Amino acid sequence: MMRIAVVGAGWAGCVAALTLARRGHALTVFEAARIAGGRARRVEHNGRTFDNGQHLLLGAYQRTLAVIASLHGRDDESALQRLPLLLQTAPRLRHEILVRAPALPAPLHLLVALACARGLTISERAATLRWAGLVLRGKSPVDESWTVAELIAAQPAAPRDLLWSPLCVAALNTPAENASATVFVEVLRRSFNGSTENSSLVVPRADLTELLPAPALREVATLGGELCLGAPVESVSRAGLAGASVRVAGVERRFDAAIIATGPQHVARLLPWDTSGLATNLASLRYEPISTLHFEFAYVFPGVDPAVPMLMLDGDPGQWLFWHQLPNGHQRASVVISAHHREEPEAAIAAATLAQLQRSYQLPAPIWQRLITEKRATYACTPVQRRLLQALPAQIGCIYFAGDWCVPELPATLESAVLSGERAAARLQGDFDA
Amino acid sequence: MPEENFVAAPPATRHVFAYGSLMYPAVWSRVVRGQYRSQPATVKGFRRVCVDGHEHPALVVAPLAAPLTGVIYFDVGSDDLARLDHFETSNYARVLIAATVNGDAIAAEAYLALNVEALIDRDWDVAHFEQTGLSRFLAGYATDNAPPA
Repeated sequence: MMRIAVVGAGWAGCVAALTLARRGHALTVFEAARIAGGRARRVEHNGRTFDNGQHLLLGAYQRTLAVIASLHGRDDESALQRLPLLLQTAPRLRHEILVRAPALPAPLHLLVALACARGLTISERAATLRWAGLVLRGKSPVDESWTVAELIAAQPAAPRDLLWSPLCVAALNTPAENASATVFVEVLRRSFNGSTENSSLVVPRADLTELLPAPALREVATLGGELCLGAPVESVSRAGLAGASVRVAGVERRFDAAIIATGPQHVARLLPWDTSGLATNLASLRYEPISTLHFEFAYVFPGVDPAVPMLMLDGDPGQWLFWHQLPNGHQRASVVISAHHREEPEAAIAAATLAQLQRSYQLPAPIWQRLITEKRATYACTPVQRRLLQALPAQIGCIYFAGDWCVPELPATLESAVLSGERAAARLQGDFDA
Repeated sequence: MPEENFVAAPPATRHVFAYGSLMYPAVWSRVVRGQYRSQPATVKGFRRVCVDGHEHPALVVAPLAAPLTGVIYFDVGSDDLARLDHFETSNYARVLIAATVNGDAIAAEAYLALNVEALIDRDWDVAHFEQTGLSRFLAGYATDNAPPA
């Protein structure tokens, strides 16, 4: 049994702590915020609770779904709803797209979905099918240095601009002109090869904190672990040959090992003594923001289909729209603006986004609205940054790292965070066993 | 597809660790409506310090502090959690903690101080509160902050 500190109770830290607590180790989890979840968390504001951003899970998020199932029981229907792949634009947009996957074995479901896609001409559908087939079967070589824009350059304009570019921003939170083609192709293969379920849309019913981080921490506590939320860690250092020391509230605490599971921007601050270049490299990372605008309506005119959880918008300024039915009968519209670098005041962004919704729906004035901007929502998933992250060490002595940035073969997602937590736990367990 | 599929899951109950005035039935029953089972419990890694000008204490992170004893109320309903949140004001935040009840580890929620300026670097005196503070607290703060019916 080892005494292990986990610094950061985002999804990666919570999964690392849970995995190691289940192996019988004594865990202490430190988190600066009072609500667990990191960049995918519940926000409480004036009596309302909502998520800081919209995180749609895919059926391909196998590790995330497995951990959620282990926390909520095999019957995780109360936590998640699975829907067949459906890409649909909001009503009355200039270019309407509808891609609906039928219940067929993969990748046939995607091929039929593309062949029947509404909003593309026959020749556009044929070109899209041919290209998707080549990419999914690995017959189309992808250079590590390519951007997604270069990858899809030969596609006709409609599928390129209305399908692949929005999917790239949704999956990688990086515009196609900068995004890594290798990572995008990896996402497509994981989603559309293998089982049909991999491409299903998984909609959380619980808030993001209650979906995984909070139940994970509750289990860590019942297994004898210690939870310190609202406790910003000042530094993490190596202690002797085998040990790590965590400084919190002006006090040093000694552990056998530590896992740093914070966003990359905090690592340099936690390791001021590090000379390996890790902190310097992480400090040079560039990020992409995500803004989410939540509007609450006391009622909504007809036109909102509650069976469609997610709709594509035209990108002016919002890209995706999620409708939520609230228990009090109100409806909430959450609009996602990925890679949103604008500097306009909140009121201007809100007005532009509401005007965008009004082009699709007859809406009353919202009774409440809130803009949440995560300035460093994800690292920019570019070919250069992917190479930089791949070269970083996974540990320094008995200080291990976890976080979406530790799995550069995937974009920064819930799945890469969960995977990184499991990998850090496995590495630490392996060193302990050895 | 039924509409209720997109309604969020109803909030679950939570265990609440009380370390100050809410340990006392006279205060607890003034804030909540439900009847809850309770037991003494301890938590590690926190200190219970005095608040300037007030009878009640505040919980702060203190990594090497001795375990402190309070009371856990089990399975508190969401309506009563909302009443407790109102009673504790925005100077406190309800956070997940790990507690021990009769040697068994358990996850609970406790109100952590946010407004650190008003805190005094002195441990809260339980005996003193029971002797003189409780009655003053019931007459003053607890009445002023009682949740709406």
